[in-house]
Amino acid sequence: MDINGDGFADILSGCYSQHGYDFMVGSFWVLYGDKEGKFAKAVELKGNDGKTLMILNEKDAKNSNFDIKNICTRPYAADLNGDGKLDLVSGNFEGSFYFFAGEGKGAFQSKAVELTDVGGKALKVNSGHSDPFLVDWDADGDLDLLSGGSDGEIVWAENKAAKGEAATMPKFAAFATLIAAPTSGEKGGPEAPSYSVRIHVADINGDGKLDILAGDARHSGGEPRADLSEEEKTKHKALQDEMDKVSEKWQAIYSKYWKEFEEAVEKAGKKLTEEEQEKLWKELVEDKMEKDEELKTTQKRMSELQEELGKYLTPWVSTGNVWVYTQK
Amino acid sequence: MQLFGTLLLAAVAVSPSLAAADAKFDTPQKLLAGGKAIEVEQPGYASPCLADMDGDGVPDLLVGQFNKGKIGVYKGSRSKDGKLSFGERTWLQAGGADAEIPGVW
Repeated sequence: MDINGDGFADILSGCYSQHGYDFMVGSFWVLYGDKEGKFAKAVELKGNDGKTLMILNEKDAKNSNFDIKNICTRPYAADLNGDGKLDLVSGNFEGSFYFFAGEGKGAFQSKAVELTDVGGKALKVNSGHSDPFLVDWDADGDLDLLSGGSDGEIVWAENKAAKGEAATMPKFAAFATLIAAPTSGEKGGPEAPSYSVRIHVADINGDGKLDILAGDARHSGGEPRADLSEEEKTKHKALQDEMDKVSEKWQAIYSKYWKEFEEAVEKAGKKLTEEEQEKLWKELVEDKMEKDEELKTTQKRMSELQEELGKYLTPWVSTGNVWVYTQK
Repeated sequence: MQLFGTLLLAAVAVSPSLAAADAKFDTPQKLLAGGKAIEVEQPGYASPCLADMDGDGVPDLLVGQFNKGKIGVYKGSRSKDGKLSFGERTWLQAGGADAEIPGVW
């Protein structure tokens, strides 16, 4: 896709959260291509206000209750409103979809608009990690919206625009399941994509039907090793039993401090800001916790047990594959 | 040459298809490249995208990943029956070095 209209293909990416801000920003990046098919280093996309293009305005982005809308972005560029200029649609951690109107040559309006279905309800992937892909899935001449998501389900929203309405914003139906989330027995197993599924739609096997590529994240490990001897199994169980007891003790001590903090927040008689709550926590309980010998002893033992237990467990592995869902 | 990458990555509109609203799919299979299952570096988060990177008319595969925001490139080939297959990974280059998307780690 040629983002800046110079005739050469570019690469567009979202990100988890950019450094350099005192709030979380899943900004957008472009690797601009040249006539030789080479790419320059990634540069950040700016909005038409000259500031970093982001889903939220700065005020909302600083509100930690909203930041899941602003991170883990995944953009898709297409002319969605039919004005001949590339627009952006981005997914996010929350699972919603935001639209940035294009102004041509790689410029985009700063204000993001949340995409809704024809009923006015926000389009959302309930498990999070929305992953927009626009394609004419039902071959009726307009762009439909497909998305992966955190739980592996792949959904689609049909564009219900009538013929001749192509030069307007899409009229998406509510999401319907295209491929159900793999069942819990398949999670992390070899049979199906696992978590955080990112899709690309194309005819992979040349039969004229659209197939779906699905990238995933998968995590395994932390289970007792299959090769443990009986003696090792006994030792592991003893360690785990002790860990359970020590963890319970730690939880009881921590809960005492947390309750004290909660009561103080309630007594304040007003809604405390995040900064005020941090200050109160430090003044009221942090010093006490640092001097609490029982708490320190418990934490130390938990660390020791954790290390010891690790010798009996399979190592943690996190990876990701690309899968093909071939359409029948 | 049309393309798009990302990690949490974007893509490009594909050509019209015969896809139907009630599509059914075969059991998913791991996509191979150079005879091996494509696997991104820890901690995972593979994000695939097809685009003709070398202008030979066959889509190549780009796979974004979380680690350093790097993007793997797998050269695409098409058999006589139209089936796509992919070669071994190289890392996408940008500005003379492995391309990295900031904000990913």
